[in-house]
Amino acid sequence: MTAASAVYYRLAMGLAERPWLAALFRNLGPFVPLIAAWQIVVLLRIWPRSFLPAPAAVPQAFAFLVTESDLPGQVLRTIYRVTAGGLAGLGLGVLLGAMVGTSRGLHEALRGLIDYLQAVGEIGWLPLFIIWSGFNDRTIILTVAYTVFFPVFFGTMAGILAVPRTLANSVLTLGGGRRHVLWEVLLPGALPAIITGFRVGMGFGWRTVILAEMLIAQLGLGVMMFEARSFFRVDWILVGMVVAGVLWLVTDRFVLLPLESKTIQRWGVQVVER
Amino acid sequence: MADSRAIHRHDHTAREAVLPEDAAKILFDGVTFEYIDAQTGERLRAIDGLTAQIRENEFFCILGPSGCGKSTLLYLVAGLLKPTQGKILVGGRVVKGPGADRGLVFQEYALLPWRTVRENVALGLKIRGVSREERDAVARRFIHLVGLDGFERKYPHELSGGMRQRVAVARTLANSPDVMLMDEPFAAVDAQTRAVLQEELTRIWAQSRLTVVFVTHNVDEAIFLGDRVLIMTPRPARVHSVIPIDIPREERSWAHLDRDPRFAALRGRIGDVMRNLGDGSASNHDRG
Amino acid sequence: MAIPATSLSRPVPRQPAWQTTAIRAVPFAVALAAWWLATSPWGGLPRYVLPSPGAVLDNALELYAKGTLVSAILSSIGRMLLGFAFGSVLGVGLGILVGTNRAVAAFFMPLARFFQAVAGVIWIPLAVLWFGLSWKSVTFIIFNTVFFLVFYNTLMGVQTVPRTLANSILTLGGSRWDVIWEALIPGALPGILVGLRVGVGYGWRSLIAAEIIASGQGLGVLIWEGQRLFRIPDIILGLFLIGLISLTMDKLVFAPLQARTIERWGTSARAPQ
Ligand SMILES: Nc1ncnc2c1ncn2[C@@H]1O[C@H](COP(=O)(O)OP(=O)(O)OP(=O)(O)O)[C@@H](O)[C@H]1O
Ligand SMILES: [Mg+2]
Repeated sequence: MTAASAVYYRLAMGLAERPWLAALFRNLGPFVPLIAAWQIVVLLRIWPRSFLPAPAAVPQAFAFLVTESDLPGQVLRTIYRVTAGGLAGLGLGVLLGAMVGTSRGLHEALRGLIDYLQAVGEIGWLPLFIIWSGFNDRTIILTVAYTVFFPVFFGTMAGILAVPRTLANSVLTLGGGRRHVLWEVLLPGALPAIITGFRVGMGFGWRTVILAEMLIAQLGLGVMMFEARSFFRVDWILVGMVVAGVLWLVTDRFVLLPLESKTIQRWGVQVVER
Repeated sequence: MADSRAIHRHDHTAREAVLPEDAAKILFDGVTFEYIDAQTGERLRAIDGLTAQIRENEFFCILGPSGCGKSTLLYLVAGLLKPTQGKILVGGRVVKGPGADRGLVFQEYALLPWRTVRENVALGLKIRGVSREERDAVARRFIHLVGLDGFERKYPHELSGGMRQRVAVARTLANSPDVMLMDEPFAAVDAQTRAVLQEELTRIWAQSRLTVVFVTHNVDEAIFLGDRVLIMTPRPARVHSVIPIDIPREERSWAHLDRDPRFAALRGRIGDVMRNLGDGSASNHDRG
Repeated sequence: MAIPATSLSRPVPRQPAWQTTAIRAVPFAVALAAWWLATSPWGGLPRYVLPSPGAVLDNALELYAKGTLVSAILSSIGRMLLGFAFGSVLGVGLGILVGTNRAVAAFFMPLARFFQAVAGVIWIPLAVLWFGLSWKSVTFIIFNTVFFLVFYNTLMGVQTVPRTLANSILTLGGSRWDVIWEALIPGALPGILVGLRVGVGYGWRSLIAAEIIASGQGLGVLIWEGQRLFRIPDIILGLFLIGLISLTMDKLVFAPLQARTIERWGTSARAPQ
């Protein structure tokens, strides 16, 4: 007991000097018992290997897929599709969100239609997209754009509506017109909400691209996972899931999240939210 | 039209009231304004047939109980609201909408949170398409004027309330308006800074053709700054009286005023009026 | 101090509800008219690109008469309810546990972050291998989607409850349970409701996706078979129903629920995760 706590203490002190090591420990530590339990289940032979391979099979499968089936190339293809679709959804979402956020008439008229289109969802449209546009990248990108559009749209609209009105008034009394109000006040004021919307949208868009690939593509991360299913390669599927999860976490933590907190902190969110 | 309604209840204002129309920089002609509640559609009359005139280059103070409609009146002159009845003329032209000729210092500052102090002060110039070097120079001058050197690169949320108010004043001045509408601009400033800013403001005003409409809660401030002081009734706002401040400008400094009998008399008279109007918040003893 | 209204959005008396509905119906009517016109002899859009509204309606009546339509709808809704029930109960429970217990949070959060990153449809291939092409796979996918949305929003709700609220209950002599019942759950309710509402929306979508791949029945199958067999009227009917059911769940169940609690208490929700 005392020995154990002493060891833990030494470990903790050692970690305190190396913050990155501490962060690693904090974030990866919980996976150790999970993987250990997985290994034990495998050793107990409750299910056949093909049903649940050992944890060690996953890095092996990863190495195999990288060397033998061009995993990086497939992943790049997926990233290209999700980026293109995401940017399209972002652009369209901001544009329409700004229009609906600044015009009472448009808001009244379009709100019902947009709610409905969101409820249908990208997967509902996918069969029609395929018939109209074919089994190709364009269809996948369109589907991703459809997913990303809605969170961005609602973020932009809500962000614009939350900007204090006096800010717009101040620009008007300085001689500005509607254009200045939009560029100096409404869009910067909505920017944190737009970025949040984009972040949420990309989270769903990342899933959509993999799903769309499973259904209609010949190349890509989703395709790899889906084909693994027909060969009964659970290890390949697991590689796909780990790659998908890690890629998204890295993008989110190191690109989208910093972007979001930067605007919010620098401008003082309490001012924006009022 | 020199409106006879401009003759107010107190006879001492009678000689002030009738001006030839072209002499008035700002003319309120029977202005009524009603807010309409967006939910219920109920109408709330904030201003009720208000008639008054403000001269070119005048320093015009407005006193009134809280919630009587002072901010609303300034919004009307700025063109952010439109009168329900009556009209407002500025420089002989009916106010149709907001414009750079009438700058407004907002009660709640209204600085852009995503712009630094310098960018906020230079905003009006940027809107007019002035080059970056020129507007930086102008901004620096006005930031210096309000005593905020060294804070150019700060964002509004990093400043105190009083500092924000000063930035708001600098932003409006830097845009060189004809008419400057100020809505309790020194309310959040400490007494010392306030005295400095008041003297600075009168100096700027005296050197220019600026017409100032200055809303305040503070009787002393109104007497110190104003050529005339308009007292508003509780909502719906009408003109209660317009009181000329006949203390020469040269003799107005805080050091002397406290001992000046004319000042004491005005302060007593306006204070009485305000108390009778039932505004406990009007103060005539502190400056801060 | 009151802030006068702006010239940007002038206060306008609110119009009656029927008028709002009428205005919102206009784009739908326009879309319907355009569709009808485009597929009419004047528009000349061929049937293999877009069939006419009449053809879609005839097809719907036919499917209804055969009984396939009703069974598709019912099986979709049934799986949805099952997956949603599991996901939301577990999501709320774990959200409160993680939000109130530091040790559990330290262990659970890194795992949650990773599994949230792959939650939902990314599990489809594995679910199909493990559970077969059946309702189990579909329900698992819905559960997986709903759980993380409800969990994160509950957690955020719990974390934003002011500590003074909990303290005030403790100083009144309340126990830990009182704190949870009187402060944390009501305080987290805005977050929980947002989670449930978003969970239904996205859960429904992953249901459709899972049905496409992993089952022989449901609205997802209707539209996907429509694509494979080139039966566009089936697709359009499915698309219409998918949107309608999702919107009905949202507007008839969750919007009123939110209005009755959060809006009345004056506490509002954060943006959905
Ligand atoms: N946007 C609005 N909608 C409805 N009523 C309003 C609005 N803005 C102000 N009012 C009402 O109009 C009246 C006048 O408001 P105003 O802000 O002009 O008062 P004020 O004299 O500036 O008050 P204070 O001294 O507190 O700043 C108040 O009764 C207020 O409640
Ligand atoms: Mg006011």
